[in-house]
Amino acid sequence: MHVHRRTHFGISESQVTEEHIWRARRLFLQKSALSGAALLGSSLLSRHVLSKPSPPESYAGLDFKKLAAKDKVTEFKAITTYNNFYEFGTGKDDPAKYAHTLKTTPWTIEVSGACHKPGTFDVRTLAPKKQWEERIYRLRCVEGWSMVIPWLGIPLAPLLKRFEPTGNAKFVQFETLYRPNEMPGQKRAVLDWPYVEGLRIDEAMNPLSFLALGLYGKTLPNQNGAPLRLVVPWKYGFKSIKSIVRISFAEKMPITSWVKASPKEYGFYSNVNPQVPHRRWSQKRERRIGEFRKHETLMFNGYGDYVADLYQGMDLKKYF
Amino acid sequence: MNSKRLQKALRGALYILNFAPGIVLAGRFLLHDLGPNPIEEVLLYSGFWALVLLLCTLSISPLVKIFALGWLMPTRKWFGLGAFFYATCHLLFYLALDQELNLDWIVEDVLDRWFIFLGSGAFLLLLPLALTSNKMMLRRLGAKTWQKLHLLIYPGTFLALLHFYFKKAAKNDDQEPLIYLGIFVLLIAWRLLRKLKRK
Repeated sequence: MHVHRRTHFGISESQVTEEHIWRARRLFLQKSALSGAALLGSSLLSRHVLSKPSPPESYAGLDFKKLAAKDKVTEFKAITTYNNFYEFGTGKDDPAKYAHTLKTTPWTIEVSGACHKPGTFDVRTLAPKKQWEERIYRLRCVEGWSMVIPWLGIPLAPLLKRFEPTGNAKFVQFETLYRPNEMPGQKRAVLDWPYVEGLRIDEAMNPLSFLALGLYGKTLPNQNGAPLRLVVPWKYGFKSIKSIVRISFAEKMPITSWVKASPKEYGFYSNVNPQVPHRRWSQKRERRIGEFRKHETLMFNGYGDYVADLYQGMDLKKYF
Repeated sequence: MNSKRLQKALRGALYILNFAPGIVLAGRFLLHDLGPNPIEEVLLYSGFWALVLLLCTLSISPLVKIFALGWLMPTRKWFGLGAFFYATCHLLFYLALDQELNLDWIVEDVLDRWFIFLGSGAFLLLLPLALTSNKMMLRRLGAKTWQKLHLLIYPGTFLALLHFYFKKAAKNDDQEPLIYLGIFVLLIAWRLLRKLKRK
């Protein structure tokens, strides 16, 4: 068995120590919120959210810092060395070993389909750093493990609205870069490249839906989906598509990569649901990376208050 | 160095090969070098070595017969026992670490998941071989019965390989299991051809 000492994810050891600074800052914010003396500092995040142009109604009262308040944030090293990113290989440690070859600048995103303002946009103009906010979300992989990740980025809904989707836009389809020279895993036909994911338009417009460009206070490492990836925390991890180059508004439900590969095992919705077992993994429980005992898996990964309405009247055993 | 001593040295090396993965694993455990998901890592690692040593076991008699390497024969038993050792570790890691010795979880897992069912079957087929591996049992059973019993290594290995295949196929990652299945098919094909020629 291999023992890896080298890491190539563009982050030096000295930068990794920032985790302590990040944790210290988080502790400070929590303490200052408790004392009530530093209201200004602690409300930094909610101010950001509220100052967004025309936020959806449901934003009000949503405190993204509190979403994962009970959870211990997973270590930076685990988040950046234990990845499923088949474009760089099927091993959990492959992305951290091989993703350094990916060139993320320049990076453009092509927007097309049922919208009034399609076009090709530079990622820096779509999501400038000064607009980034932090979201601490649980991530539940379909394989039965989970993490808690402090993402940096922008909410998805306001961005999508800038392209002015038409009434025909019932779904949003996302596509990952296809560049086998830089993504060695694409040389094997493990999946039908490029990777495709999708959301129903109301799921995409949900305030939880997020585009991450960073984590732990810094720019996203390549193996985590740089420069821009989706984060939909109430769905299994594979829905949160990485290194996005194409967004299109569609009338019909996109055929996503895993559905295409195995329609009996993977559904379009793929909401975290302990009642619907996978043929290979029980979905009742999960192992939180960094912990010894398993947790019970929660319906919608614990985000039911924010997303359960989206599926009212739907048989989630059928639409798994 | 005369050839007898060389053979002895080579046999010794193969003997040690059985222990090496276990020693490496213990070392990695002590050095906290099992990665972000240590339970998954020890499961994959022990399962991997059980499979590799099973294929080693099945490779010995073809090697002996093709290249007239009679002195290799004793290593077959070591490889067989080595494979069983890692398979037992694999099972214990699964029961204790992955399933936390929770009987309800285990029963559900074995019945609901095809690959777990196959893995359990593989272990049950290999168990009697390990129990009858000593000379005393050989004598008690008689060579004929003993040999017949030990034919169980073929279905046992096949189920173990299927167990690995169906586990990996879930994420379309079937390259590695297909390589092992290919080796297994070659080893079986050689035996069948030899039997046909003899007739």
